Amino acid sequence: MANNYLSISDILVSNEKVPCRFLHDLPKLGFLDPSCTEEDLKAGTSVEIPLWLAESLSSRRPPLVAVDLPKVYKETYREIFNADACTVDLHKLAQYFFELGCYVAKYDIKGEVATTLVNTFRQRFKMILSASVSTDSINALQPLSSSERDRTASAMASEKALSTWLKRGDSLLTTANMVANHRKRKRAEMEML
Amino acid sequence: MDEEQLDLSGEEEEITADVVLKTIQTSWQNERLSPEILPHRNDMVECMLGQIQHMERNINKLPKTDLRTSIHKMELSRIKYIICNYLKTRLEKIEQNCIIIINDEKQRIESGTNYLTPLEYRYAQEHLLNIEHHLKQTILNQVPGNMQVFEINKMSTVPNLQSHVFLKANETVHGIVLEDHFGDQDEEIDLEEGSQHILQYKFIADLVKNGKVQLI
Amino acid sequence: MFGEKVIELLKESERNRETLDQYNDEKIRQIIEEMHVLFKLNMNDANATTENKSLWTTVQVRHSALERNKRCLLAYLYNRMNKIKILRWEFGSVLPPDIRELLSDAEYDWFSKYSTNLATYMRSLGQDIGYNGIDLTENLRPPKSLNIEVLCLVDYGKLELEDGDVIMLKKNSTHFLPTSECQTLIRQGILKQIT
Repeated sequence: MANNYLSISDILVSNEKVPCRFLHDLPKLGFLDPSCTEEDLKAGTSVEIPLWLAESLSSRRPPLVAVDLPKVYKETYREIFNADACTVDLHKLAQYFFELGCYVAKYDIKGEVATTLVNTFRQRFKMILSASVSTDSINALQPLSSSERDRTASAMASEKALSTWLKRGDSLLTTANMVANHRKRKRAEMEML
Repeated sequence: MDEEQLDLSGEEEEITADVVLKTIQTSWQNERLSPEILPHRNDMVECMLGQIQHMERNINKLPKTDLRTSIHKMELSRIKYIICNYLKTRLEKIEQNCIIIINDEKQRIESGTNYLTPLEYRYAQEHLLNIEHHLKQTILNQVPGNMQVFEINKMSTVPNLQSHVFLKANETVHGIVLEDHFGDQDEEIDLEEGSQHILQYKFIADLVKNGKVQLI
Repeated sequence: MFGEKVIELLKESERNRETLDQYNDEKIRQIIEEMHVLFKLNMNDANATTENKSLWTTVQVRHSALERNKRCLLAYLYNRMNKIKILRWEFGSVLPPDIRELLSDAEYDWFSKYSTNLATYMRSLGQDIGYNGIDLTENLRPPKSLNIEVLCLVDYGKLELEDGDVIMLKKNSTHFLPTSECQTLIRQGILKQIT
């Protein structure tokens, strides 16, 4: 994914923790495992580490860790998602469900994670699409993952812009985005003082 | 013979201005809707700028309250908007993908098929230099030795050529291959003149550049 | 040291996607110091790997952490650069002082260079046919009418129009002006279009 190096969103996704089993001893790195009391990390320990570290270590030859699937992508949850993905609170359960899933899917030899991801996306997309016509239905939706929220916000902005344009026939010239937002923030900060 | 020539030259001028405007509008639309930077139409832009000068001179000759003044001024303001937006869109793409664009352009310059005007190319190079300088000064020169490299490959942002676009075929085109990434089911389709489709940009990129299809 | 601090930095900037925050000089310094600590630890352990082979894996882990910190710092700066670019298009080439404060000196330097690069490009547009350049930061919206009614939001002072007329822009005064001459002031939040 050469394109993502500077993407803050990708950096945040790769900060999510995944369970791993260390295949070698790691002297002086005991602090990676919060339950470890020694200075050294022994081979065979299972620890939850950030995705970026897991990917880096598992891609070395020989691999230093074996990556396991986070519980959201395991069988029990997969069944829930395949049954009815729309009732799941993705905000609480897995903010970066889809993005992290893309990374994690390659550690699933059976390919079932990939299928679940596509399936879940389809179900929830339909739900979001039909709800985006009105703000009431949007607010009634089950909480969404981070990227779903972004997409919903932009869908609503487009709807609003379209209906304004249809009503007015054109649009007013407005204060530039950043200028307006800076002013708002300044006002809010001054009110707090 | 002379009379005919006079008549023709009168018509020619009208057709030319109209054609130029249409071409600019098409190029503008394509540029806004395509994920990558397209070959420049500087010849058209300069032609249009010349037209604008001409029109402005004519408007100034008319009395201020003449109805035609308002109409012409609106027309001018529309044309200026299109040109400005066209150039601005190109700058945005240059800024976002400057590493890739500069690399590709180096090769294209050698074969004489450059996409950027010389001014745009200089802008791109200067932009990259500024970014590199800033990052080196602020971060890269302060971090430990082996981390100081400005890794140009990682820093490049590549336009997403796989994004879908709406297009209209200006003429009938045969044999467009739609590759299937995940399987072997490549598809081959034809586009009828006047038909409209949604396709992934990369399959029709060349057709946009040679005018056979138009992004809508 | 393994990227926690730098993530705080990035989360801060993600929280306010529409505006620019104060440049966090302090945190950046700390992160760079952490990187130096990691590097030193690695240098020592790399020398010791001849006695203890398993130290080599530790060195690799720390190296990954160094790369991670570098990536995050670059992303932080790059993301700010993009926002600063927008400042040029929205506020103009002179920044209001409260905005200027948000940038580090190096960033302001970058802003000036970006501004100059843009100005050079715009100035040379149409040069071959006798144009003095085109200001691309004008003409940002499709024009709908030649004149518009505006309300003045602040005490701006005198504005000289193209035809030589001078008008006084006092707070709460309304005016009927040519669109082309108000565009910038509207974008900067000095005038507001009404009707």
